[in-house]
Amino acid sequence: MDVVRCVREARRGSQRAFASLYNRFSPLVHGILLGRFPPVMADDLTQECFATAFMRLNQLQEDGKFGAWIAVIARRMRPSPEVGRASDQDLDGVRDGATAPEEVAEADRILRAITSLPEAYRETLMLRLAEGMSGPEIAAVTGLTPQSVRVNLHRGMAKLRAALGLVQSPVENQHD
Amino acid sequence: MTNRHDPLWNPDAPADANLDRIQRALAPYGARARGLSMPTVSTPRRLPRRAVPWAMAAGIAILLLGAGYQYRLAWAPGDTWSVVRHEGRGEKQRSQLRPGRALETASNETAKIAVARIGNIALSPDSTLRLVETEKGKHRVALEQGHLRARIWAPPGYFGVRAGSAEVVDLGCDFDLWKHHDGSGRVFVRSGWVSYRVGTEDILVPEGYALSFSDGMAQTPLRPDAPEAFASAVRELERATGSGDAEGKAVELAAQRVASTARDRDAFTLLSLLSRQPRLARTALYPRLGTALGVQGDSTDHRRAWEVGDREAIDAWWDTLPRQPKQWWANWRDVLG
Repeated sequence: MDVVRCVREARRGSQRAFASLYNRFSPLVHGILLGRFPPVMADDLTQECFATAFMRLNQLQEDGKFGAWIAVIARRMRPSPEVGRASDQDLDGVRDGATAPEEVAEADRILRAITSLPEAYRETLMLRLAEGMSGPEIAAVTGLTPQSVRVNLHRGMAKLRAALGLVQSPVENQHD
Repeated sequence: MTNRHDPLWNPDAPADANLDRIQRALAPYGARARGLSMPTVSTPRRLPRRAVPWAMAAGIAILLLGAGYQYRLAWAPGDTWSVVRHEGRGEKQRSQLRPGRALETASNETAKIAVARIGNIALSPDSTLRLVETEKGKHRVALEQGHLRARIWAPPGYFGVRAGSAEVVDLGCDFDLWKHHDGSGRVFVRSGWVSYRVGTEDILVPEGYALSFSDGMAQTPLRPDAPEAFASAVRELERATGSGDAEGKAVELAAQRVASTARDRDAFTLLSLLSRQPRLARTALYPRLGTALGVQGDSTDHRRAWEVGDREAIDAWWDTLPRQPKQWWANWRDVLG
């Protein structure tokens, strides 16, 4: 089901269409929020963002631009005081029993490094590195051109490597 | 490097050690890896944008209808009613009818009277009508003689016509009333319902039925086209029960004759007889009414309950009637014309 049809059917109350939109765009929303907030908080805000978007679905002007529209909502999300307190546990809240403390610390260091980057790089890198999306997939859900995604990925990765004190990749340097 | 071989562009392409380490470290934090579930969605169910003007128009129309309805029912106590007299040659004469005053029509004259704002009365030649009282919720006239046709669209009880010691109360309908010098008369309901009240008795008359009365006495409603055999059987049963013996042999035989001559479309006559005299449920009237109403049954318990006048048992069959007295608003056509 394409996005336009999903939006139209969701407006008519189709739970299947809601689920389809959620499956398609939850990595985008979660990636944006993960670049701004700790992981547990990003999880909660992702749910809240979709609940808000579904309630306001009639305000969407162009059905085909659902991705760009919900991305704007995600960028405006702010945690409520209750969510903020509950999410103070930071990465401990998402660590499962099998994850070594070193791995959690490493992930924490990388996430903090990404959140320090400019917004365009931060979001694109989160979608690629945490959400596992490819360049074309990122372009499709964000509405950015493939060229912009490619530039953001390479420049962002170069800055991330620098922030983490890693050796620069020659390819990534070509985009500086 | 092509896009296909670029590990940033294509996650399936081989990555250098650092990128691989970063990917593996962050992978557990992605939405899919976290297994986030969709939030509970309460469907907005808002109107499509194009429907908004229509919804607003509908809202305004409802407000206007509500205001119009209230205006229609409102009436100051003692206000006059407007009257238009029509003489034989077609001439018109306008006047006002005040409470306490009578209006008489000559043999070549009719009159159309506005009943406040809730309907109208057409008064036939050689008739006399008196306006007894008028105020919001209670408009009463007395037909002293002659014939009238009242078309009313208002809640039950707003309008009534006194005919001798009885009163014909409108339940939202269109009806004719005849009254003679000797106090006898007849009411015929064209649509809706009326209640004929005499003493403590309240006889409902539905659309398509007529009720004849003499001063202080009312007969059972009958269809005007009822077969003579059925009508006379009903009169015979009324006489038999009027003697105070609702269980005698004469009553049983008369009830048998009514049941055998009744058509299904005479169901309301049977219902009225059984409602006024519940003891008749022990006769042949009960199963005949059940058949006419299409009610399954001859349930012994229900029949016994009816015999002792159990309201619930009687109402259960009244409720099978297609249009109930309280549905006065369904007769909106009565307001036209």
